[in-house]
Amino acid sequence: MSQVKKPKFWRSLAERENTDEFRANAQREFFAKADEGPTVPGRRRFLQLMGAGLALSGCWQEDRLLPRTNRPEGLIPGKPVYFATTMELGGVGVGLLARSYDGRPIKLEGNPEHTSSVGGSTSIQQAAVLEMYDPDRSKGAARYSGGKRESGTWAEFEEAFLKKGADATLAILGDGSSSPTLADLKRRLTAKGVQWFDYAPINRDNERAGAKAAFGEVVRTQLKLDQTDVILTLDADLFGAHPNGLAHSKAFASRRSPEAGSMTRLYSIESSFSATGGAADHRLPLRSQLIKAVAAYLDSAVSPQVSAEGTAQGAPAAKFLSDEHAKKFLETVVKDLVEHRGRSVVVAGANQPAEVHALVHRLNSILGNVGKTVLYTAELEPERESYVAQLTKLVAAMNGGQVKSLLILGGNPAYDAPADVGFAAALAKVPTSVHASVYEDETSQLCSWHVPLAHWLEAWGDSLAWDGTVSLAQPLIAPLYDGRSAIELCGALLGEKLDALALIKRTHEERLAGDALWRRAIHDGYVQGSEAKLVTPTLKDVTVSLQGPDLGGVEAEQDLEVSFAADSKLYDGRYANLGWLQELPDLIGKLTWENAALIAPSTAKALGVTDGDVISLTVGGASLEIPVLQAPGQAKGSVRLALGYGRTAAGQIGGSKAHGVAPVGANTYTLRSSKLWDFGGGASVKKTGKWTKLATTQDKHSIDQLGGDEIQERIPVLIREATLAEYKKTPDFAKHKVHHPPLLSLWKPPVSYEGHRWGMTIDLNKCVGCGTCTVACQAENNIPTVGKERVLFGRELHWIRVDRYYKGDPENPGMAQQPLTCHQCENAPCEQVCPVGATMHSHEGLNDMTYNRCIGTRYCANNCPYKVRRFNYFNYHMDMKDDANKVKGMVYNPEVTVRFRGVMEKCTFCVQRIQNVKIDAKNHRRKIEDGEIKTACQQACPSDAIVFGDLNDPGAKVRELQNKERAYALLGQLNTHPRLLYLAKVTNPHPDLEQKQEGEGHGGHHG
Amino acid sequence: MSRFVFPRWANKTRDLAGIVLGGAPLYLIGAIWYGFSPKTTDVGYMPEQPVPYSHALHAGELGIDCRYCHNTVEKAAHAAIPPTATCMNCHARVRKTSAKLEPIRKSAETGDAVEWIKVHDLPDYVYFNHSAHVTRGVGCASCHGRIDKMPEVYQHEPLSMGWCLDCHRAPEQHLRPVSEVTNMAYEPEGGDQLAVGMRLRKENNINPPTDCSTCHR
Repeated sequence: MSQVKKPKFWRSLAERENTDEFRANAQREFFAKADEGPTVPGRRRFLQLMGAGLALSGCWQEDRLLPRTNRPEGLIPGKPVYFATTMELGGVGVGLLARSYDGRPIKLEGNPEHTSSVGGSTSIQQAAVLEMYDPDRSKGAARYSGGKRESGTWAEFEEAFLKKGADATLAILGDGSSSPTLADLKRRLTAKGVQWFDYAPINRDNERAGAKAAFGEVVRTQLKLDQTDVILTLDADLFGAHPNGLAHSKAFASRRSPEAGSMTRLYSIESSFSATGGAADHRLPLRSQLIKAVAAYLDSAVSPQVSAEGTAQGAPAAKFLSDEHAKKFLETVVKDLVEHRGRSVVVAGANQPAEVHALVHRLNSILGNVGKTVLYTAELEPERESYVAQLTKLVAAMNGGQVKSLLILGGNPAYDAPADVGFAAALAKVPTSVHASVYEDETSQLCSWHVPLAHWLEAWGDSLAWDGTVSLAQPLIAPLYDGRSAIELCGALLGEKLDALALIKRTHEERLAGDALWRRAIHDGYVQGSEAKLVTPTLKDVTVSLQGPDLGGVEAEQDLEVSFAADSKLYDGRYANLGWLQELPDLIGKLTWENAALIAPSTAKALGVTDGDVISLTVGGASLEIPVLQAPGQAKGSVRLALGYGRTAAGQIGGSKAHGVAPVGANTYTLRSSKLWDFGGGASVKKTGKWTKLATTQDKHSIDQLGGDEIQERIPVLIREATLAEYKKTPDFAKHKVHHPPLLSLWKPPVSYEGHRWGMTIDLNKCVGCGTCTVACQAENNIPTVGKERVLFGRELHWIRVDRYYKGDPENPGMAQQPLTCHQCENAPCEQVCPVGATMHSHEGLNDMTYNRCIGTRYCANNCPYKVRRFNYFNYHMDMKDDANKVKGMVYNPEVTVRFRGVMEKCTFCVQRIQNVKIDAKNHRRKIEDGEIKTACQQACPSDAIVFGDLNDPGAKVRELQNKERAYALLGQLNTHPRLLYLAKVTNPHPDLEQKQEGEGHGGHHG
Repeated sequence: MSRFVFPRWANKTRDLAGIVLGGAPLYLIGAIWYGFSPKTTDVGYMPEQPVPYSHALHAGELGIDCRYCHNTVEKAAHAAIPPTATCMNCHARVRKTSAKLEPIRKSAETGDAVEWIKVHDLPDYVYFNHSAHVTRGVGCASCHGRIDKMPEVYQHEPLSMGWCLDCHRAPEQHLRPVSEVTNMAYEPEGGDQLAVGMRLRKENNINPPTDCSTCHR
């Protein structure tokens, strides 16, 4: 194999090394077992059902029509209505628009006017409707005593708890909400002596402490990425993990058009690949522990060049700085930052300690960025202690007997509290403990009471956006399971006569005096002009202490570091029961239904482990069994662990002891203690000898089936990339990557496309691979989840997937993302082989898929070069026969057929959205405006990478983009004439770090 | 022992068997063709409704416009069944004590819906849109028949895919001025539907698509 040239782009290590297994799979038309028939239910069962079906077909069921008794004016049955609302996560509210059919919210979109959404949304927000209709949600109050569960009622709970009121023996544990109303109620409760604590396992306490250290006051950083030329992130994921990630994605994307002549340059130094690192022009994988030394180095190098005030750090004697590549990298960063003073940004991740944040504040200040690209606003509750400290205090009070009753509002501390705090043990000492939550989870089972919390889509609420904008949430539906909101519970404790709506109105009565202002705010979902005022804190002297492990000495090299991060899908674990999120392939490993210990390939080799090996990871006295996944681009000697898995009381999807469902993934919270909170060294790995097959999707749907050499030749043709300098020289470089003889067709195109010609572009320069499009498509098009076993068979049903390619050296690769969906070929290979005419060409150029005609030959999928057709193997709605699961049906989009097993499914550019706009436009004899029809993926995309429209409309944006020089057709040499064109990726590397032309003999370092 | 010999007439059964066996497949095909066609199974379907509401009385004799009750027909996919309140607009005063109207009064009182039974029931994978047809000039009667003469509503047309396509391929057969859409007794100008239809088709640029995605999503 060594004689084979290593590819420039690759999707997995297996592909790069061209392993036997990979080649065996690539030879197959479908992934192993994907083309094998369903095993359950068997043929016999099928025949039985067929027989029963025939017998029953004579008498069909009458459909009933149940009109309202009194229809409000303007309400049209079957027509969707949109409402603005707000979803709060991690103490930040993001404005959303909910689409509701006949009182049934089924889809959420970003609110374009809201500053924290700007029209985009995250995969978690897309999946929120699934959570609301989850049949595993808590359905009523319950009492627990001695581990025995007994159903209770709200009336009993009121009698037993709420009526007793609030006094000093009551403690409340919140989950760090930014709700002004809850803050008001908290003030009233604490005035009565109630002890109030907050705890959230994913928080930004380090950032707050860093601001305190730098300025003496706690402030929040607001980044203006659209005005930034150079960005440096230090273990920070600006797009994915950051609470303001949607706004960041949009602002960053706005500066990534090579056509504009200049582009932002993004440097990323991080221990594990993030969306931001993937989008970076230069990335340096570095242990999280060493970031502090990097920050100190930057200060020491930048300060003299900008004649900064205050004391600069001395040059750290870090060992890694002697590495030639790292040194060059950092020198270039310094040069670039200094060159772009006032137009650069340095950001540190929430996991980095306060000192790093303080240094970053200093760097931004001396670089003159403050006031230009970096602004500050006041932070909420500036005086509050860190969440871990608060929880520790609460536990002490519980153990000391000062807490007679405890009310836990949301959260799941029994599962996600630091392992060394001993929350669960202390809980047993509280005479009356209550957990109000959406699910009856791990914490509920340890409390004496559980009461159902209303889902945020079912309740009135308010919260603050990242920039402080007051955002309002309105109920889209009456509580399905009799839940009440945290505001209602606190109000009841205070004996308030007002309901939640009135309490919220009271909180904002100054700001929203009068009905008109209130109605306006509810309509918009936020209060205009309510963003936090800018503050101008003064920088103090910052000093950091660098100790052994921070400097990466000899001993640190052998040392294994673990770092924790919120899962990009399950967050802190609260979304573990949402199949859409569990099945979404993650950014790095394309891993579904699991978490794994991410280890760099070289480290894995040194440890003697490989993908799927279950290791016993010991750190800080605790150990955990978890499978390994080699992650190219992971820092050497650093293990990344995603939090949020291994739930034992999440539900029938995420794991539930009560239902006999094994936990999904490993619970990494068992290793996380208050001392080892973000990351730390001293970990050791032991092989257990066990092995598990990880359900990754990365090698599947390998577009090319022609074998290893051909794949390696063709992948650079799939992802076309150039640097900005190259682009300026040859703007149409993408068109020259493939040369083929003139393409002739055997027959004339049957359609002339005189009306509409639907087309799409995906800008590879803007896509950061977040995966929101996949979940948005799933929500819009009623796509079922298939489960881990079938993902292993390659039977996942996502209509749009994001292919992630690595580039270059596995230890420090670049990354490229390519969302792939049906290309709606004008000369479509699928249409030509369907024996029953189930997939037909429309007059507008869509490859229509008619499910009721499909007989499931799968010839079309066979013939599709893009591998975007998905075969539905099972009746995934079977479980809805159970009455308890009927509620699942409420999430379906009534505009799209719910498919049965045995049919091929695929993207049709959201034809239901096209049709509805077309019909409406024609009813009113008007033209369809450009941008009026948005596909689900386009609407959800936070970075505007996807553009859809009518290619026959001269003013259409999609037409303008398709005519751009860097537009190219994927596999256009196959004469498919796709309607989906990609805009080639153009990176903006610094000339000093620019990679030499890709050649032989990789082994050295690369930037 | 005498052997059993088939009587001579038995020879004829051979021919008979030939005719029956040869004809059986043809008969079966014919029977299925006819028996399973929507023309046989669906046309004339007239379920018993909870209230024997007579369109013949309301739309025919009293001349109430279709859109008085089905008021979303020009705006939405569904020509919504009216809410109970619409019935009560008149029946709060008219025939206040009629036993047949008991379910309506009960519904108005309790707020529970009247459970009407769907007559025109398309398969779930078909997305028909009333507004798209009504605003182009396809009359109600074209698909629903003379509702104004039906004491109880029944399905007048097969509503099969072939039937839909017949019109989508040649809409002039059923086009009328938009103002005449709800006119049950509409007669084309000069009695020549095709001429009027062709003219309207041209004037209003009506080219109904026959793509799969026109109706199936």
